[in-house]
Amino acid sequence: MNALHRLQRDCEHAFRGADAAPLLPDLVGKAIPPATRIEVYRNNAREICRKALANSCPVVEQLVGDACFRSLAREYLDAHPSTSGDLQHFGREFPAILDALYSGSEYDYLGDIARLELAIEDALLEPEAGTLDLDALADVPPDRLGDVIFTQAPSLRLVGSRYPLLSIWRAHQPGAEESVDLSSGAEYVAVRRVGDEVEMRLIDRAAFILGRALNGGGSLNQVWDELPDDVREVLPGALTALSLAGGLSHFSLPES
Amino acid sequence: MKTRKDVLITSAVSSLLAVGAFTLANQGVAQDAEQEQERCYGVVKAGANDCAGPGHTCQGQATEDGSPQEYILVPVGTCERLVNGSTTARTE
Repeated sequence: MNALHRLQRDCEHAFRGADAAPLLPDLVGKAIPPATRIEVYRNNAREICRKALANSCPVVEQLVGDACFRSLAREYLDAHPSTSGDLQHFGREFPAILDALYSGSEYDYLGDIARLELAIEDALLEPEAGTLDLDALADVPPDRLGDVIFTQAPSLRLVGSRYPLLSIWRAHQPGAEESVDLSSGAEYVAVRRVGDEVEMRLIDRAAFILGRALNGGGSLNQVWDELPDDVREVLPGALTALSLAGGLSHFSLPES
Repeated sequence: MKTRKDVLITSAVSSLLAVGAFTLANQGVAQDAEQEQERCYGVVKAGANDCAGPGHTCQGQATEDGSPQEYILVPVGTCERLVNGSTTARTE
C-alpha cells in the first residue's frame, strides 16, 4: 500500500469514528491537540451528511423530530457512508433503513415518505419530457399496436404505498392545515418535472402497475404478459391515466 | 382471430388517442381565447390598466378613471358593449 492510499484509509477510518491514532503522527501543528481536530472534522462531516439527508427528506425530518432525525442520520451514515463527493444521491438507501427500523410500527409509512421525497429530488434532476406524437400513434396499423413500445418521461417516478402517501406529504408542507387519516388507504403517485417544478398526481393502482411494467422497455404485448388479470381488464383506463399524469413521452414501433 | 389481449390493447391505444385529442383540443381553445383579445380604451379604473399609457410605461400606473388613452385587454367583441369603451385610443 502506497503512502497516499494509507493516508486516505486512515482518514476515512478516523472520520467514521474508528481509532484515529494511526493518523495523528501525520497532523502538523500543536495549537489544538490533533485528536480534538479530528473530532471537529468528524463532527463537521457528520453534520454535512445530516443536512444533505434533511434537505432530501424534510418531511421525514418533521415527522420524527430533530433529535430522532439526527440519530437516524448518524445510523445511516455509519451503514452507508457517502462514496461520492456529490451528496445529491446520498440518501438513496435511506428508505430501506427506515423500513428496517419502523416496519410494523406506527411509523410504518416513513420509508415510503422518504421514497417520495427522493423521487421528487430525482425528478428535478432529469431532462424535460417530449410530447407523445398522437398523430403518429394514430397511424399505427391496428394489427401492430401490440408491438408499440412506450417510453416514459425521463423524470417520471412512480411511488406507491399502502398509506395515503401524498396526503401525508402535503399535510407537512408550509401552510398546510389538514390532518390525514392514516387508515384512509393506499395512494399511488406519479412524480415528474414540469419546467422548474415537480408535479405530483395521484394515479390508481392499475396505472401504477402498468407504469412500472412499461418502465422495463417492453412492447404492449410483452407488458401484457407481466400484468395481473385485474390490471389487464382495465388496461384502457390505466394507459390513459398514466398518459394524463404525463407518464408517456414517446413511442416506437420496431420494424416488422 | 382476435384475442382478448388484442381487443384490450387496441382499446387502450384508442382511449389514449381519444383523450389525448380531447386534451389537445381544450388546450387549443385556451390558446385561442388568449389570442382573441382586444384593447379596450376608456373603461379602465385608475391603477388597473394593462400596459403603457400617457406619462407612464407600466401596467397598473394609470392615474385616472376612464382615461381614453388607457386600456385593458378584453375578449374580442366585449369592448363595444361597454359604456365609453373604444378599441382605439382617443385624444381628450
